[in-house]
Amino acid sequence: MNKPITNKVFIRSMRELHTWGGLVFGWLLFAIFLTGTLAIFEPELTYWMKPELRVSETTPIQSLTAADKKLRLFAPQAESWLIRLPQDRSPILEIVWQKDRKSHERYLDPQTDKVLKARQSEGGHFFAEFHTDLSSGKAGMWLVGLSSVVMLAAIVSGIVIHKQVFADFFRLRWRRNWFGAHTLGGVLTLPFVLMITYTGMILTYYFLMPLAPQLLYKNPSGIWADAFQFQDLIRANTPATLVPLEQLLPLAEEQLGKNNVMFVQVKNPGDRQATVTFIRRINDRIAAVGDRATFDGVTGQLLSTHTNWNPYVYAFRFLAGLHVAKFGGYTISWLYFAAGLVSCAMIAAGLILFTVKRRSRYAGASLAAEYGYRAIEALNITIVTGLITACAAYLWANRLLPVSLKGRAEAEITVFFCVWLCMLLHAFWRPPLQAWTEQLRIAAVLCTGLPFINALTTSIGLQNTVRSGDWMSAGVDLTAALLGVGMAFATKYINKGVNRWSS
Amino acid sequence: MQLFTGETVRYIREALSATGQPQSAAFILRVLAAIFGGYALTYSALAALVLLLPLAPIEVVFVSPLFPGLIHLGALLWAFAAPTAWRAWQDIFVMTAVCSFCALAAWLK
Repeated sequence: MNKPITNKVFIRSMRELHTWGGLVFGWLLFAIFLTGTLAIFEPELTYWMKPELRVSETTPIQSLTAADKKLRLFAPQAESWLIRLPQDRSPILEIVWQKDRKSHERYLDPQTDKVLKARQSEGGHFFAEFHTDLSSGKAGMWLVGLSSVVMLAAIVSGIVIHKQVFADFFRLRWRRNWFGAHTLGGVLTLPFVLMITYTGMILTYYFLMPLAPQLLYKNPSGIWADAFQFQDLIRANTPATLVPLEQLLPLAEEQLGKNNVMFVQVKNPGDRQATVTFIRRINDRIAAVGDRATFDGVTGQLLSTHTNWNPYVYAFRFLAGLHVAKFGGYTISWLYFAAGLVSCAMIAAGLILFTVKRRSRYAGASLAAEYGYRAIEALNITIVTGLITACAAYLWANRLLPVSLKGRAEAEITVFFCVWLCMLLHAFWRPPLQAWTEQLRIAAVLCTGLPFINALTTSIGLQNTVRSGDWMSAGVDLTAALLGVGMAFATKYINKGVNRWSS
Repeated sequence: MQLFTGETVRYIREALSATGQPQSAAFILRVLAAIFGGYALTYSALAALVLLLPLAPIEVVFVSPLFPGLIHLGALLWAFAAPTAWRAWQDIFVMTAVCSFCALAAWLK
């Protein structure tokens, strides 16, 4: 076999990989990228989806005192407590306790010492969860892991088969068709996509193939004992009074810095072997590591401080921090959001390109061939516009379902999947072009309508939030409306430019 | 019954071929090599890595996840880049065998 032929075979198999891997995993990747992009604003979405939780600002010490009091009342015998002190982007005091292996959580208002009643909702966390495992556990996580591998393979094979797009990009020779949109978006987002895919991949494989913990540790708690250089104490079952937590806060702040405590964790409360751990916030540096200080829960003595991380552990958490983007405040969040949206558009353009290229080829083919092609087109529509509609419908469900409905959080998620299923049926029922524009129009209406339905059903409508400076809630309304207007324009553009673009 | 099966197979083949690319057996073999061969290679290479890296256990736990995805990526790319599908299977199998041997040797040591 001589060289040119080998090369030709190589290019051809790279093209097959890019085309077919890109199509099948493109469906998964679009869903993963879109929900991941939304999950950047997980705290804001959760805050927006629980409009009952609005309290005025308090000091950490006041919050901790209130949480301590309530936890002693609600769960004196719990296995552990967790107190989440109010932070910039999650301003609500939350207490969680574990009892009989079950987790209970409440929101508190530190000013009045009252438990806040909020509607049940997964909030923005649903998007983050769908992003990590497609809401289907280990199997979903494997699909996500494989998708990350195929994404990197698609980048490599894409560069192999379309080398010239880099030159075209920098010579500003930008084609105004789907191929142009796909390659332009690809070149533009290449650094971001490489970074986000690789960091996501290592996080996924950390959970998928836990060979190191299995081979090197007898039980998983040993890992954390090693990582934090502190062995958890075992319950002694002799009662003892827990030291007031607010007394420990100044001591912890000596170790971790003023106003830096994010979590307070109490193990074995009410026992002689109780420990109180203060965990520092993670949002002021890239590496997602929480420095910690642990105190004896009875004597109040400092047992261990952990602020110097093993460089290997730190390196891993640095890459994890790059993925979850908790650092850099809103500037970084918006940059990630924008880059995520462009990546979604790039994937969507690739999916559309697949069908556009083959539209003429199937026209004269057999009936079966036509059906195969039709199914691919319908799935494209379901994945792109159908998912956008389902995400918007999830936010609508949060406002429209009765507040005190039983199993409300699950009902919202059911609405999400039902709407997605309806979009699938719709995509098969309508001719492709109509399905595209109609679904895009539904999504546009849902997104632009979000501020209105919000203003009608809650007290955090734009007229109130803008006046009171609650930009976390107003931001969700405004962003949704803006995206909705963008989609309305896209619908118009598709209708007008359908002939011009179908190259 | 046989007629029905034959018809269904023909139908599916036509539906697939409609979208253009040749759906040869070789292509499917490459796909299988990429997914299952890739998984086997990733698993055995990771096991060898975990047991042979000269680092403290806690360091291995956090360093080892950096590699399996890339190993899987390499296997997947080779499954498609190899001159023939047979060659792809052969290479991935040999690599898996070598890695498993290293891992076993380190485990039994």
